[in-house]
Amino acid sequence: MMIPQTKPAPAPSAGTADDRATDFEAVTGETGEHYSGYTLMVTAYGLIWAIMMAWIFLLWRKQASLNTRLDGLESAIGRAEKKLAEKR
Amino acid sequence: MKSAKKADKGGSAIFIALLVTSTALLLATIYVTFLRAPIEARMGIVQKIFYFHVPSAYAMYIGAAACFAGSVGYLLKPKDSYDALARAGAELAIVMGLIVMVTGPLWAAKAWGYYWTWDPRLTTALLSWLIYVAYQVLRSFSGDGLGERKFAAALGILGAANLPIIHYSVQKWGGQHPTVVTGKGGGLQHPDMKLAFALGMTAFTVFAITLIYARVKLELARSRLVRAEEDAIDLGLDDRTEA
Repeated sequence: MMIPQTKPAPAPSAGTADDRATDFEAVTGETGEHYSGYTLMVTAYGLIWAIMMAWIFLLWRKQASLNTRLDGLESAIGRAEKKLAEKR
Repeated sequence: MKSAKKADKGGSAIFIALLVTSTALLLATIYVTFLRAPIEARMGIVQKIFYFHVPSAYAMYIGAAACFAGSVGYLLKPKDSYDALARAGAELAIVMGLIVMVTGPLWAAKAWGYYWTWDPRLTTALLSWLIYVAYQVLRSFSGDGLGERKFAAALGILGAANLPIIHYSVQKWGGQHPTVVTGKGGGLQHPDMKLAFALGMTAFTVFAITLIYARVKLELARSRLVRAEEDAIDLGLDDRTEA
């Protein structure tokens, strides 16, 4: 299940340049090596906070909407009290 | 009036205590996860997602359980407090479920080589999350009458019925999702890994309770306001009638 990590760097060689000749092979298929574990972890952690902040923002908006409605109700009660006082 | 003020003060004290405890626990979890727990030998640093992914899934279960309890309570005895609990639980299940759905694929990208597969646990977890999204959509776009609340309560019970299926899907239907804590794979080997996981679970439990508590309070305030507005309309005090 686990994806092998990158090969360890070879020890310095005292031989000729030809001894150090190497080739570069392209990764084919889904090896998992295309993904940096560090990037994935930071992304995951950042998204956790982003989701939580988005929810807190929505809660704040709900609270603000309640406050607006409460203001409307209070002003309606105030007007009714004023009317009642005028009648008296 | 005095007793209501006293209850409000008591409620605020409970909330502040929960908030302080969950903040301290979350900070301790971050410290142990990133500064003390060792990097996993085969998976590398991406394994640290585990310390937030599993507790988030557990917090989703807490939200779903709250939604279930509130829904059953509301069907038995239609009270605002039960409905508020159900609604708060469903919302928490959505938020925590979203964290699970985001962090899981990011871990899978490294461990499996792809973000998503139709594995039994992933599929059932997604299905459960979609049920709570449906619940929230229903509550947001339908009325707030007894009928709508009862229909939503039935949906809340249906959502909870899916939870055991998510949990046992790994054992019953195989798939790729690993079992680290309950399986026979050895679990967490290092004591600091165990500590990070234990702290994560405790922190998210207290955090989930804090969020449910705050959300229930907000929902109860909304219900009270709706009733006050209805009374105001009956008495001819409403803005629309006054203007």
